[in-house]
Amino acid sequence: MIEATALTKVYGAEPAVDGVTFSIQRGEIVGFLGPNGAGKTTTMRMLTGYLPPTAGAATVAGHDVVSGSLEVRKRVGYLPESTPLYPDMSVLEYLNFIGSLRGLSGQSLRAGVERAIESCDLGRVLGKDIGELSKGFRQRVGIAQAIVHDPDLLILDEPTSGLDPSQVVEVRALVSALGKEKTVILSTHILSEVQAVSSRVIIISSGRIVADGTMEDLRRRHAGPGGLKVTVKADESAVRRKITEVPGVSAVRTRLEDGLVRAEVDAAEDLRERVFRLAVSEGWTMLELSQTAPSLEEIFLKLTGGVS
Amino acid sequence: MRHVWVIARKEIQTYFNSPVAYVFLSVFLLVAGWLFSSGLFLRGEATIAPFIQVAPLLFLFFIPAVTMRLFSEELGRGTFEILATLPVRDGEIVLGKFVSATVLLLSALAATLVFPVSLSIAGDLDGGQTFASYVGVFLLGLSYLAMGAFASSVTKREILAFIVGFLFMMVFFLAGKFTQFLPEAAARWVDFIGIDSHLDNIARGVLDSRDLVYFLTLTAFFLHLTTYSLGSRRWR
Repeated sequence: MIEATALTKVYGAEPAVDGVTFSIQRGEIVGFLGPNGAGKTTTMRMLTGYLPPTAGAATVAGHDVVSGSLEVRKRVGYLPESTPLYPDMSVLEYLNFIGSLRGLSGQSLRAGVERAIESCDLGRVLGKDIGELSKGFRQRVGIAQAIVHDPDLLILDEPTSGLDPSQVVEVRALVSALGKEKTVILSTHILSEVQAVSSRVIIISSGRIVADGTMEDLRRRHAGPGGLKVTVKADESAVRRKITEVPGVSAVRTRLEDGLVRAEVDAAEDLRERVFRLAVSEGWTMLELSQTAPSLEEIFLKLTGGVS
Repeated sequence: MRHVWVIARKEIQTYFNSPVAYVFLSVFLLVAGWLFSSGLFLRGEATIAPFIQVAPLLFLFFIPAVTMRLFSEELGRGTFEILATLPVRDGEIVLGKFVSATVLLLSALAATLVFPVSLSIAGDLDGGQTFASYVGVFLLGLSYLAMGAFASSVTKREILAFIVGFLFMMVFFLAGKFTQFLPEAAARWVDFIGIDSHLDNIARGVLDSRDLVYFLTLTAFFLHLTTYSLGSRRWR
């Protein structure tokens, strides 16, 4: 569906997107994840034909985004960042307007608009001016205009930013539902969003792709040393000393809480069995023993150079 | 061509759904009527000339007010990004917007038809000259609209679009008025560039193709520049 090769966009002297290469198959839901200013929006603008790349190339459904821009635009539904809409148009007027410019007319226009209204559940607000709608509804209108022509590819730039939690859930459900039939690319700087809706994540930082794969891939590939969480009833200094001596342990942090010793153990391998045996032989009462995987947040922060 | 009409229709609705169009039309009619009638009684003859003489000055303030939002509003709100990623050419967007502004201009001119109509009732009005005058003023309006559209395409601030548009129109408005201070050779050129000489011809009732071509060229040139300016995001 999408092939991007060394896609680069330079503003002035600063590269906003710097040699990005990826390929997206039909039917995938891909999340572009990255901190603000990482180059997500610029990448999307190049894919939609709004901005041409400075270097490199991209094709959408086999059409080059520069030389075949018109063909690309016919096949893509695009919702830009912050959902720009005309506040003084009614929802129905607006969808008809976009549909007409999408080349629909007569029966096909009616059908397209009706389908978009139904998918985005806009039936109740059709006659209202867009300016009067809540942010959640406005977002749905933005998505509706992107699907009026039933495109194969949907590109959504930060579709949930600025929404309240229940609206976020609604919009995510809508995106997931649309993703059943369409290829969807969405950008976000919120990690849980990618987890919630997309099957694959491309992490962008400072204009470069730093990771590309499914959540599981990421966890496997970028997981640093995992660790153990241990809670025992025993003497704190003894616990620290003994656990440090266990082969494979790189660091131990302990603290006393309600008379219990809570220890966090850094280790590259699964040491649950050894620690359990140790506790038994030392006669500690064990209350908790669990393996901790690094969270996706930690992986994300590590990859994007953020501070955790 | 269908896209042009879809965009034009939407823009016309936007104009007429808001008070902007009505305020614009009534103020225009009021000011035009006042300037026209005061000139009329000074002359004491049944002629539309006083209106034609004030039209360029009037347009200088009214046209930028009409055109300033055409693109600036879309650029400021970000709606241009959706428009530009639809399978629509930049030129079609420009033409659609221009057509909508032209409709507003035509409504304003239509409203002023009360002047010649009342004149023809009260006295002996030269129909041919009046018709030619209206053609001239309309063509002048088209050129100004194109300049205003261009001004609007270069900035996302409407006020700035107004000022830039005003300045462009001002150049063409004033050019013909300074010719007596210029050397002979330059004066001819400046006189040709300014609107005065062309409008004077038309106002006398002479519809010369050179004057028509002048206004239409000016319009086409600035519309082309507008399309170019919108496309400049691609290489800036």
